[in-house]
Amino acid sequence: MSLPAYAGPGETIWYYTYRGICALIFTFLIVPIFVIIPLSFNAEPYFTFTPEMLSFDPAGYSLKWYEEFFTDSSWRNAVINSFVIAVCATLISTTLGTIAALGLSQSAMPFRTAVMAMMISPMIVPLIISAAGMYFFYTRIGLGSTHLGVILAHAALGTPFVVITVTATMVGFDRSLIRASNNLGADGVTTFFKVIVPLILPGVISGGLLPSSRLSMRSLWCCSSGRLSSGPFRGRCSLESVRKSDRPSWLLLPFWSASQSAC
Amino acid sequence: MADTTMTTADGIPLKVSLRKALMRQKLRALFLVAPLFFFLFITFVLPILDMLFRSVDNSIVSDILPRTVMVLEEWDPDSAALPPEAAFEAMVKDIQDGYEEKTIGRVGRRLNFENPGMSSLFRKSGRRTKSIEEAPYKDALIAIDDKWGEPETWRVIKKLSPTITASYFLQAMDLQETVDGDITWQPDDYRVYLNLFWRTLVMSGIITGLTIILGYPVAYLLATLPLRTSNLLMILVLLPFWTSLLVRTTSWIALLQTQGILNDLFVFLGLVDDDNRLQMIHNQFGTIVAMTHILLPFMILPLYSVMKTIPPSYMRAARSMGANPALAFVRVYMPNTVSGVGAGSILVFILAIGYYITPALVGGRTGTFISNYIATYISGAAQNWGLAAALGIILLALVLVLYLLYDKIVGIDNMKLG
Repeated sequence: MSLPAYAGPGETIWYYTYRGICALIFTFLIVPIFVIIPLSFNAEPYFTFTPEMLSFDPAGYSLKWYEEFFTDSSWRNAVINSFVIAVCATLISTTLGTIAALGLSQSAMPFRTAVMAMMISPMIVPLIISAAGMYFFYTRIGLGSTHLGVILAHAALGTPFVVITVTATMVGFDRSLIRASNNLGADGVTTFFKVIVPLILPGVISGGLLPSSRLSMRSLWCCSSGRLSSGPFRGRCSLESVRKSDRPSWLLLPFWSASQSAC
Repeated sequence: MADTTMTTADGIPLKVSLRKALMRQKLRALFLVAPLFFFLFITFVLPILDMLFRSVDNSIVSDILPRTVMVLEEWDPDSAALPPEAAFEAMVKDIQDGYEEKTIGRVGRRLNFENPGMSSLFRKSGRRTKSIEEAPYKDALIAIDDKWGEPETWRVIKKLSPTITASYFLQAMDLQETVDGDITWQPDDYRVYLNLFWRTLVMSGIITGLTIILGYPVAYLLATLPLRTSNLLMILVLLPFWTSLLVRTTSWIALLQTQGILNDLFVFLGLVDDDNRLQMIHNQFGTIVAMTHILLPFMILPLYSVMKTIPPSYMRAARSMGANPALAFVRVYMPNTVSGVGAGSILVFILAIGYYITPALVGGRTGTFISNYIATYISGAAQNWGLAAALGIILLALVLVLYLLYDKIVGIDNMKLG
């Protein structure tokens, strides 16, 4: 959208004002993401810019929170837990979600809307409700306070993202390729791995990554429902520290934000 | 006469063969969907059903005090008289059993929701009934605590004897059932939840409105710029979308707190005095700002995908017919984007009313949502799972109504992420 040649002065003013407004909204969107990064180098255990930091005095900066992060075993445990759970949950939700999306995108699928609604519901149902329900139920069937319980819960909450992205990818998928493959003598499994998977892989990957990058958000429900996770989670650990604000290591949140933006 | 039915090469009528093929396709589709369906059913749907059950479940009293409940069936709670000696005997035996199995505290806690003081009564009696071995049980119990001599105590127990109760739901809607069975409002001091639901809805409405106001111009810019530029700017929308919720909430704490960046900036610019810095967090303002930021991408993305499909020639046509730019925008462009605004608003609203983390961290006392109360009743000091479940079910019902609305307006198949 560039300014048309016939634009009058009023239109020109509005054109630049509008650009300015949009720039402000983009600032609103992006500043909170970056403002947190320099704070992770703060020498003080507070979540504010100290005068030393503002005057770029080296004494105001320090790497000590990074040191604590890499040497403290509770942080290490939390990272390992997060990683293991994220990988397992992503594998489960991506596999099941991709297969289901293949079925959902077929024209012959009966009750498509109802099934789709059910499969997207983990994203729609408020987190606290899923968390409460799962906590009660998993405790009842003996999965409370186990890694398996946390993995299953995360996998369930991650599937909608996979189903949505893969179904969207399948819309643009040329079905005659499947027929061509069958015609050339490939069976269903070969067709799936040699023809379908390579073509929908981008959708699968983005669908699988989206929830895992948000693991921290969802590990929250373990925190909310108490004792479910068997070790401190990254997300849990940091939320508790933010709450209490007495453990300075929550300043490491910035580090983790940085690592996420880098991914 | 020749047979006119078309057949396949195998001699099967074509219709039958087609029907068979279609059936096979249907089965294959179902077969593909089945694993996830069952997985979600067990890991997600069953837990929610379990919670539904828990919100009306009241088997605890009849499980732990079985004898008493049976004897009390005969007793008329409206009479001013105490229940018969048999009830006291049953109670002593039940308490003795419950004390042995360490379950008596649980029933005390449950009764305490209806009548404060019951918990300590059962704790106290649990220890002392051990020595009671023979009649008269009535006098022995009353000797332990006078409360056993009040008909009110027994009325509460009788009232909670049925295994299914609506009391959690009534409580969640600020109602109560009196001993006579009438449903009335709770006393004013105890009414919290309706206000809280109302506040959650109002704040979610404000947040939805703000995301429309902020999201619309940005989506329009993204949709009308050349693809290369708009893809670059899209990163600015997607980066917050992909960043963890907790990180974003924390940055808002850093920005808004009294010693935070914005206040520092205002003081530096001389807008506010150093001594009375603005309180922008731990109140409704903080929650609204942080949640608007977090939910903004959920508004921009559906708006963008709708605006992308509106041909630019519409606006040019309107201009060439004499409309000025503002009129052309309002009369031609905006009506075309209504479906996008609807999709975005419902999505943002659904996500907002169920929000937990952000209000918990920046909400303070005035900016908390219903979810925060649910969490308190699950793991906090005031444990009351039944009430938590009832509040959750009401919230869930609200969300599901909106979800159906979303399906009617947009269609669930059309949901897209980025």
